[in-house]
Amino acid sequence: MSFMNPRNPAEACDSLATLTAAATALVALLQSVNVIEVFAPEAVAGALGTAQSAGAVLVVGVFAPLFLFLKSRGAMPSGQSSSGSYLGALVRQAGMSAFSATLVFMIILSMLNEIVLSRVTAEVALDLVITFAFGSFAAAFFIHNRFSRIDDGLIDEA
Amino acid sequence: MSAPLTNRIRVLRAERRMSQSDLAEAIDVSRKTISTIEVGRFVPSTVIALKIARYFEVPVEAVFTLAEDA
Repeated sequence: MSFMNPRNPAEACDSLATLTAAATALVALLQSVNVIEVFAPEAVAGALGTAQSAGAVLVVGVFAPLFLFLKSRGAMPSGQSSSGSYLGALVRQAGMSAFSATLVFMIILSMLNEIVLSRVTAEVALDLVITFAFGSFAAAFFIHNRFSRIDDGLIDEA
Repeated sequence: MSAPLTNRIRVLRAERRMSQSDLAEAIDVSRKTISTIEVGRFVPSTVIALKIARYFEVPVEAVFTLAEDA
């Protein structure tokens, strides 16, 4: 399959799934800058802010047009796809894994109230959770794609 | 854990001298979907299983088998 030149709507759907995971990984990286900036020296924080802006331009300038292009080739979000594609199932499994991981992360964060939450603002804590949620989705997508057997409704370790 | 599923898609394709892409296009899925089903990494939905069986004009049991029945 050529990512940029899908042969049919099913191929476009798979490209869209891969693009979604890649874009989510990038957004997680950009979001993490909001947290790092708080703890970094001022000079480094300035450079990180510039890098974040460049990343945002990349998302809007590259990923968004690609997303629209793939939609125009017949790709549908995985939940609405009737094709039952492997990558569509992978996106759903990654979503479930990310939800579970984020829930556990928030529970642990609440237990570490004295160490973490009492030392940062609510905005930073929220950025941390959002970063984790996006990051865990992207990581789950690529890990499941590499190591797991995907089933219709459940996932097994390979 | 679900029971391991084996399939004869590669054999059925070879008998008809079809590529994975040909089969994928015929049943409206991606080539990656066919390749991952063939190697057992993806257990397809019932709809896809029935589409494959109908395309090869065989019962679905002739394409997919539970490993314990093989």
